[in-house]
Amino acid sequence: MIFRSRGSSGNNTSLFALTQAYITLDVRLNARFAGNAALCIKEATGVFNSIVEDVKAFLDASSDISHRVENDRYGYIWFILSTDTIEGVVAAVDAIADTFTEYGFKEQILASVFAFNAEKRGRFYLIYNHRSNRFYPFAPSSRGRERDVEFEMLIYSILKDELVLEKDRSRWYPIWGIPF
Amino acid sequence: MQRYEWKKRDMGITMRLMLCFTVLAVLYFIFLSVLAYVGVGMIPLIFIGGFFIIMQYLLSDRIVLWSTGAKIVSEYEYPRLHAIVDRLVARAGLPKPRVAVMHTDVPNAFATGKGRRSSVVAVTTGLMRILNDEELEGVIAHELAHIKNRDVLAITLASIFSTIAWYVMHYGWYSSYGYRSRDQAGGLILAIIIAMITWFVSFLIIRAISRYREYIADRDGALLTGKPSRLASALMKISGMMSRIPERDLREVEAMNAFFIIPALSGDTLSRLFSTHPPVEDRIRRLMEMEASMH
Repeated sequence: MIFRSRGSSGNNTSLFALTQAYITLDVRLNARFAGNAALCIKEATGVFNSIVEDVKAFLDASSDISHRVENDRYGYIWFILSTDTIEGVVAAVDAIADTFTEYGFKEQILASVFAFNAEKRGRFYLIYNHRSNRFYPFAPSSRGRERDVEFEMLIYSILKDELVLEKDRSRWYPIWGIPF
Repeated sequence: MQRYEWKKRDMGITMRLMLCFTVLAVLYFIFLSVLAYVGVGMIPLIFIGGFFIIMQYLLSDRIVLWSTGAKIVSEYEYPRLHAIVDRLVARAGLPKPRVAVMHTDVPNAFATGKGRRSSVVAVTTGLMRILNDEELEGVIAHELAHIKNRDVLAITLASIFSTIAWYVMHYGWYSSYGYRSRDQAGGLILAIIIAMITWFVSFLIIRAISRYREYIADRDGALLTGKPSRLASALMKISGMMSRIPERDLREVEAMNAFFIIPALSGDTLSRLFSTHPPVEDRIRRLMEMEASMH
């Protein structure tokens, strides 16, 4: 377990519910955690860069999670984590979010993204908004900027008793070109 | 005398039908009032009123086709549409209804007819354009469920009861106070008020029955195709809800950072009370729960 010394802020219980909800996804959709997740944060100046280095160092020290850091064309930094277990990745995402929050960069956090593979319908993501503490599904289709709304709504119906979900579909903003 | 349709932006078809049936209702009312005035008794009045309603029911498909401008089409003109209807009626064990098309861009569909054998399923050209085959199948299955459940008959019966209730109240008031008593003016006003209340309550009840049967048709239609999510996605397209799903990247939106404080729209209960159709959002939710339960 990484970042244990910092502890959790305790307001992320809705994020940790994912460690239970993925079982439902497995049972009802034959969907499994794809081993990848990421926290996406808007770049800032000053102390921000040293926190980024700090987080990288912590991730380097973590034996059960491998990671890479990417910058996108919107000016966001992606901490992309790879591990087999969803518990580990949720804890890591929470720890990274906590670290940035602690230094006053909570508003910079865009979202966290968790990748899943469904047996029949392929790749989809659960996007977690750290401000509203809600999840929403995102199922991009393979061709271009299109999404499978019907599949997203199915995921929503299946998970609505398990996770705190965003009810307002007009806020289900896509993130195109997720780098995993 | 009733019709079912996808109540959305489509004011054209809805307005034409409402106008048509309102004119008919006003004509009946004037006619029956004249009869009452010249001294025809309550029992004959009920029979005459009932006769009108039954005639309207028997001619309902013709009235609906005429007022909506839907044209019966053959298999040669619309093979895709006929093929879908053929598949579904074979599975549902229903006689094949006539198939009609309305030339308008507004996506809509309805079923009408007095019985399972003489029904009509009508769709607009706009509906066929925006839906794929599976979604169109979902919509037509919903309409066939209306036919199978004899919903036109159910609503007509409900209307007959409300009409009878109206005349009984009306007439009962007259006879208990004496039609030409000294209290005539006051009695008349009270009679009108009570008749209005009777009519209004039965109107709300008919709307409630109609909404309930809409859910049942969604469910039965979805069972017929085995794909509730396709009807849900058709409903989203028809209602324009699909366009409310954002396409813009979260990062672009975040840059404008004004979007996260918009409150969710709250449902308007009053308009729900008057509506013949349940809120689309609710129908989609039920259909998706049905789909989820199949997984």
